[in-house]
Parts: sequence; structure tokens; C-alpha cells
Amino acid sequence: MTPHPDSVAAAEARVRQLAESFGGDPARWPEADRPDAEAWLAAHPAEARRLLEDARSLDRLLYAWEAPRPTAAATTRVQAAAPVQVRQSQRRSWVLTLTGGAALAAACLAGIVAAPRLVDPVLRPAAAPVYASDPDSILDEALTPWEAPVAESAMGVRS
Amino acid sequence: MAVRALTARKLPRLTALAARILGDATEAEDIAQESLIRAWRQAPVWRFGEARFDTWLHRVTLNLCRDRLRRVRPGGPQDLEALVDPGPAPDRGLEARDVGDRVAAAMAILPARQREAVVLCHYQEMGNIQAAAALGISVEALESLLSRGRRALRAALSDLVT
Repeated sequence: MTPHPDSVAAAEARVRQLAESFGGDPARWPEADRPDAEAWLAAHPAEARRLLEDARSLDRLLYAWEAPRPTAAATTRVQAAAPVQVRQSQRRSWVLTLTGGAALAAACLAGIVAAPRLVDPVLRPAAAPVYASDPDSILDEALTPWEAPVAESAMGVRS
Repeated sequence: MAVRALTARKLPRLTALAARILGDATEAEDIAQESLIRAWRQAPVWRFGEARFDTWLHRVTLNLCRDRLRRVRPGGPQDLEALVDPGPAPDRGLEARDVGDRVAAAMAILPARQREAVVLCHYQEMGNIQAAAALGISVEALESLLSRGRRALRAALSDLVT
């Protein structure tokens, strides 16, 4: 079945918007738009080539602006700061936990039934306690839900 | 291992981000360091919600850049503005470095939000959802910023776009 001319025109307009906003590489267009956009590109190869090449000419130009790399000194400073910062933060979180526990015990002794509800949201540490003790283990545990495993072999630097 | 790996992976990325927002390599390095040090500080009590670690780091870095721009250069990155359209030297065409300088200058005069959107999507290679989250805006708003930003860049660099 031949697509309705209106839907073809709408698809073309959308492809133009995508190239104008996200550049000439369809792999970097929003995932939700890609199937329809790629179908239009495949069905109109000559127009697609012109449109994408136009966007790529600006992409190439933008890449001429190279970013500086961090110095070795900056890398050393950041790495050296990690153990100190992690331990200080860990100590603070334990102090909060202990303070919360003490407050809860005092409240219970005083017979205040509502005390746990009052104390809990304020004094509980911001996240589940981290039981690892060295900075690397803490970072590994903390990042696991959000980041791929922090193996050096998996490093991919894009700048 | 994690500290070394994260530093190797994120410090260049954050330095590049800050350099392109600020137009100053030294300040960019300071800000990238500060962002990672804040990450170390957060590690034992980490709670990113739904945000990815990389998005969180970008948000921290962008906020530090905005603070720096407000404090140090209320009028924006003026050093770079001076580079706008200098044209080629009389005895030679534009070389790669000159082109880079022209792009930097054109980026510097974009409105801040457009510059941030272009830097996140084009240079940091973020997807639209992640970039919108880093900027705290909708994906529609992000697309609008990108479209206007790239149009302005194309106009500013029209003599170089082939």
C-alpha cells in the first residue's frame, strides 16, 4: 500500500528537524524517532543524502574545536583526594546514624510512641549504609546500579 | 582500581565539557576536579535517584560552570567573543586551528542554554533524554535549543560550511 502523501510530507519534515537539531548521523537521533526516520531515508535515498550531507558539513566544522586534555597533575590531585573525601563522608554518615539511633532510644525511653516516625526521615542516612571500607569498594558498590562495572578495560573516553 | 578508572574515564570528559562551556582550559580543569571530588564525597551516601552517574556529574559540572561565569564574567566569555569572525590571515587560508578558534568564538556568543545543549549533544555525545535530564528541561525544549543553536552556528560560520 502506498503511504498517504500527508504522512510522507510529515515524515520528511520530521527528518529535516532531526538533522537540523541532532546533526547528520541518524544513530544520534532520538530513539523514538529513528524507525520512522530511517524508513523515510531508505525510501528517498537521493534526498536523504543531500539532507544528511548538509547537516554533516556543520558537524565536521564543529569537531574542529578540540577540547583540552586534563594535565597529569590534575589527575593525580583527583585520585589523591578520593580516600580522604570518601572516609570523611563515611564518618559523617556514621555520626548521623549513631545520632539517629541515640535519639530513637531516648524517645522510646520517654515513652513517645510517635518518635520513630518523627526521627526516621530526618536522621536516617541518605542511602542504605555502605559496608565496604576502602574507597574503591565504596565506589564500586555505589555505582553498580547506575554505571557499568568500573573495570579499566571498559574505559572509553569521549571528549 | 575504581578511583583510577573513574578518574581516567570522567576527568577528560568533564574537562572537555567545562572548557567548551567556559572557553578557558585552566578554569575548566579546576571545575572538572571539583566535580569529581564532590562525587568522592557523595560516594558513601550515594543516592542518584533515577539519574545516571554520568548525568549527575554533568549536572554538577554545569552548575559549577554557571556559577563561575556569573561570578567572574557577568557579561559572558568575552575573550572568545573577540575571536568572532577574524577572517583568514592575508597570506594564507584557514588552518585547522583557526577553524577551531572560529568555532569556539561562534559557540561563545550563543545564548548560554543553547551552548549547553549543543555541547552536551554534539561534543559529549549524550542522547536527548540524558541531555535533557542534565539540563533539567524537557526533550522538546532541548530539541528547540539545539535547533536554534545549530542554526545560529551555521549562520556565524557560513563562510566555512561547505
